[in-house]
Order: sequence, then structure tokens, then C-alpha cells
Amino acid sequence: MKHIGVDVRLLFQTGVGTYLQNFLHYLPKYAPKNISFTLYCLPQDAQFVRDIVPDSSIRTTTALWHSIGEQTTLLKLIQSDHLDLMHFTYFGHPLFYKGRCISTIHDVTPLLFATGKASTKNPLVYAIKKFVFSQTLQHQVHHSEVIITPSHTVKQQLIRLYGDSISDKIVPLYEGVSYRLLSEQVDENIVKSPYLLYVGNFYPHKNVFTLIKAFIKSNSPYLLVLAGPHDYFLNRLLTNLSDEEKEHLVVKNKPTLRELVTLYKNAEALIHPSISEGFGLPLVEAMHFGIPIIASHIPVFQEIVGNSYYSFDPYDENSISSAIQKFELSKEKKKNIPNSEFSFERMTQRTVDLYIKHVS
Amino acid sequence: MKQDLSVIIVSYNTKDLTLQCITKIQGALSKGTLNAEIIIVDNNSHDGSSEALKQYAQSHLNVKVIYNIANEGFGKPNNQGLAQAEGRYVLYLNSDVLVLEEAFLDVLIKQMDDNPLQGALTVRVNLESGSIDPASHRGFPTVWRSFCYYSGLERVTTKIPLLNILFGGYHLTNLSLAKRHEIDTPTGAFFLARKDILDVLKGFDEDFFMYGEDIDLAFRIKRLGYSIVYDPSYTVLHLKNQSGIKSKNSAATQQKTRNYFYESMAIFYKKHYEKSYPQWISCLVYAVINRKKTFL
Repeated sequence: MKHIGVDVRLLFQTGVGTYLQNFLHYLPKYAPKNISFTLYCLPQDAQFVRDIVPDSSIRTTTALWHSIGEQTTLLKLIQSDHLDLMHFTYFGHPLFYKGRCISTIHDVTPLLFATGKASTKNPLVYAIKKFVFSQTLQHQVHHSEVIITPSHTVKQQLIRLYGDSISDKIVPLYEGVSYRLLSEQVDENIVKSPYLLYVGNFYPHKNVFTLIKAFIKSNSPYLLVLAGPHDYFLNRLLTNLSDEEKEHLVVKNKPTLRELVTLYKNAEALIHPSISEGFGLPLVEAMHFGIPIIASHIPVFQEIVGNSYYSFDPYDENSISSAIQKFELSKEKKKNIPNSEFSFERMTQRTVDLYIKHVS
Repeated sequence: MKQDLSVIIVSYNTKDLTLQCITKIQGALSKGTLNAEIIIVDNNSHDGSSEALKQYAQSHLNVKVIYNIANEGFGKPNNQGLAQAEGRYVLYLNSDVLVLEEAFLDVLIKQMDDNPLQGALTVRVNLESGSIDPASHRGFPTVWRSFCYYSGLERVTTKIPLLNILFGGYHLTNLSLAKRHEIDTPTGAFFLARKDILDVLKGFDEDFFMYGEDIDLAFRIKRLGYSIVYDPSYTVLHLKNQSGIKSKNSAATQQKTRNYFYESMAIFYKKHYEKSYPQWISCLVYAVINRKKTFL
């Protein structure tokens, strides 16, 4: 019997949370009999984890990611389990963990751009945070036997940062459409006039403010629907807009799954102006629902969608608004079809294959 | 896309050189298997270039010539070429650059195909003296890097490890010229890039008349998350300054060219850096640029 641990503390964070929920959902189907799993989660998530992976042992911890507790209590907890292999599913991990491990690195954006609340703080604090981030990541990259990335782009970015020597141990595994969306039903259209849809949070690197400005400039006959969490950045965004500008917008805070599916199904197109991503869940979802995509010309979106979308330079308002106009004017819209390469089930299966390979 | 590669050459009063340049690039293409076209944009040359090019194009099917009725600088004619280009890749080539007649473009394009994150590439661009054209191996001209370069700090620390990291950012003097690596910006004299990226960026920014537009384009390519690579496996020869600052033209022309050079510097600073520096630094930068314009 082999014993594998998986860190699922970020189960309900946007992005990474979707990844973890889907991984756990498909895990029982692919987990071999001779491997037992221990899952490390936050106390409030324990019931959810127990329901979804009944055969696993569950350890709860209050140590959050990037905290001191992660380096002390979580470290002790993991060590006390004497695992054959530990899977860290995010870039935070206990630096002094000596056991064998593999890691998932979702995104190196924070190393390339000011993201999150960090960018709102004083530059010195930001510089220190960035330094710590880069050191932690470097340690994790070198210590892990395998690094899973959600795209070839993140693999190439890691190689750019840490050199060719790590190339062989990086395995890109595409993510997909959440099982929770796949099984959800569609309601009547919630937005009465035609609209373009943005799905995601409102961190600065998502570039939504530029999108709004460009959207208004394009004199689009559509509305712009923003679906995402109600966070600090959304508030900041809205206070910087005039009432007239807000008339072009519909903000859908914390949409339910059913609302989200309905929004996708009825949208004219998905629009995504991000300046950097490790993957693009909303793009894969838009492909699944068969709606056109208007998005940034960045490497990872090129990798996922190829040429079958309307692309723009996210730094240039004019470029965004002319892409919107081009979309409106084109008679035969560039459409996307579901692509089986993007599947959480396949991703889980391949992750389990990696476990088997590395514990035997 | 019908073609693998579109080579874009702007010509202005360099008839013999332009023909030599085209002959060499044709030679290189004929050794390889790429589907390639050559687009020449003539800026209303008055040395017989347009007639010569017309004649050349008649006997070479893969050559297109666009004739301007005025000297449109560098960025605009290149964009005219880009609008006509049908290649997956575009090579911006100066009319005073001579390439080797071997299939090196096939190798470079294979390399770009294999590395989707690579947005642009340059080779080693040499001057007649045999030394490298410093413009082909540059960092972005931040205030600090420019200060180090113009004050001579870069020159005196070029060969001193660590110090060249600190002071040599303008020309990335700490990186070995013999090895392939990432740079910030190549020279527009030999600038190979993905056509899809150029289309999205709408090519060169035409606010720059001459000089600096290559740095600006590289800046915008890198900002999207693509890398730019210096690959010294191949060398081309840049017979620089045939139509630039140090040409044998009149003092008035030289002054005009100098103005373009420093104006470009100001445009670039305003476009990309002004917002990240305090106002007093910006004032100082503009003052220094103005002074440089008048007394070189």
C-alpha cells in the first residue's frame, strides 16, 4: 500500500478551487486500490471533501497558504503522516518539507506583473513580496520531482525563469469545463438585450477597466455583462466610472452555476482582456458552449484557442475596440466547438498516472 | 497564409545597395525551401532606384514593389509592406544589410515554429569593421540605462563582471555575444517576427519618423508575454549609415536626422516610461534630450 497526500486547502478559491473540486470529483474513479490518499483541507471544507472522496483520510488545518502556519503546523502535520509522495497543488508549500513531492504551478503571472492587492501597497512591500514569491517558487520548482502546469505556455515560462534543465520534469495537463457546469441546466435569459460576457475576477491584471473604456469607445450596440465575485477591485473599478458609462454595463455578482450557464448560452460572445494567465477557464467554457471569443493576443490564449478568435492588444484601448467592431461586422462569426483535449477528467486520470509512476 | 515569410525592405536613395541586398536575400531563399516573398517600399528615391526596382520585379515573380510619392520615413512604409504581406513571418530588413547566401532563414523559422513563446528574433548583425552593431543587442532604454550609456559608465565597465550587470543594461554588456539568449530589442535592420503578433500590434508606431520605432515594437511584443531572442549562429553585415546620421549628406540633412533621433527618444519615454517616473525626472529627461538635439 502506497500513501499519497494532496493539499486541497484552496478548494473554494476562484480558479485553483475549480481545479481542485474537479480533481477530487474524478479522483475516486481513477484512484488505484493500492494507493491510499490523505487530503489536507480547511476545517470548513472537510464535509465537502468527505462526501466527494469517501475513501480518503482527511486532515484539517487552519494554516492558510503563504502563512507562517504553513511553514510550521502544516509541515508537522504532513511529516507525521510519513507519505510516499506529497502533491502540493499551489505554489505555496512548507520549505522544510524533505519528503518526495510533486507540485502544480498554475501561473507565474505574479512574477511578471503586479497583481492582486500587492499592487495597491507601497512599492517596497511589493518588491519584498515579489522576492519572497520568487524564492519560494524557485525552491518548489527544484525540490519537486514533477511539476504539473495547466498549459505549455506556463511550462515555457518556467523554463525561461529557471533554465532548460527543468524542462523534462514539467508536464502540461490541460484543464477543462467543470463537472458542475456540465450538469447544470439553463434558465430563461436573464439579460434582456444582446450582450458580450466577461467572466472572472477583477484583479488589475485582468484589465477589465481598459475593457470597459474600449467597449464604450467602440459604440457597441451590445451591453457588457461582468460576471464575477464582488471584490475590492470591482468596487474600485465602479467608483472610477461615470453614471453614463455604467449604463453600458450589467454587473452580475457571484452568479450561481445556473445563472452562469445561462449567461454563457445567451451571450453574443465571451470577451477576455487579461494581460497574463496560466490558463483560461472562461475561454474553454465559451468553447464548450459554442460562443465566439474576443480576447487578448497573449501566448496562452493563442495556445488554447489557436486562431479561431478575435484577438487584440490588451494594452491598447483602440485595439480592443476595433476587435469588438470587427466581431460585430463579421457576417460569419469565428465559432468554437468543444475540444476534448480540455477535460478535467483526463487531467485527473493523467495526474493519477503520474502518482503511480512516481511511487512505484 | 500563402507564404512562410515576407521580407520587407524600405528603399531610399541606396540603389546599388538595395539591389545587392535583394540579390543576397534571394540567394539565401533559393538555397532553402521556404515559400517567401520580398516586398520593397520605395520612399520616392531620386537616384534611379524606382526604375531599377521595377525592372528587377519584372523578372522576379516573388518581388512586389510599392512606390511612395514622398519620403515617408521608416515605420509607415514598413506598415505599407506589412499590409501586403502574406507570410506567417515577417523579416524587416534594411536596404543596407547583406545576408549570407545559405538556407539560414529556414533554420530560424523552424526555431520560431518550435518555440511558440518566441515572438521575434535577430541574428548577429555586424558592422563593416567586424564588430557587432550595438543596436542589434539592446536592453530597453530606461532612465538609468540611458544615463549609464551616455555618461560612459557602460563603456568603462563592459568587461567587468557584476559591474556590467549594473551599468551595462543599455546594450546588455553582461551577456555573451557568442551565445543565444533573450534580449529586449533587436535593430530594425534585421528583425524577424510573427506576422499574427505584428497584425495585432499594427506594426510600427508611425509617430516615430525614423529611429526608436524598433525599440517601441519590441517593447510591445514583450509586453504581450512573448520573448525576443538574439541568435549568433548566423551573421549578417550592416553597412550602416549610408542614409543615416553619419552619411556624407549635407550638414542640414545631418541635423534633421539628429532631430529625428532625439525626438524618437522623447516619444518613447513619453509613451512607455513617463507614467512610472516622478515628474522631476521626466523634466530632466526632456531637458537633456533637448540639449542633445542642439549640441551633439
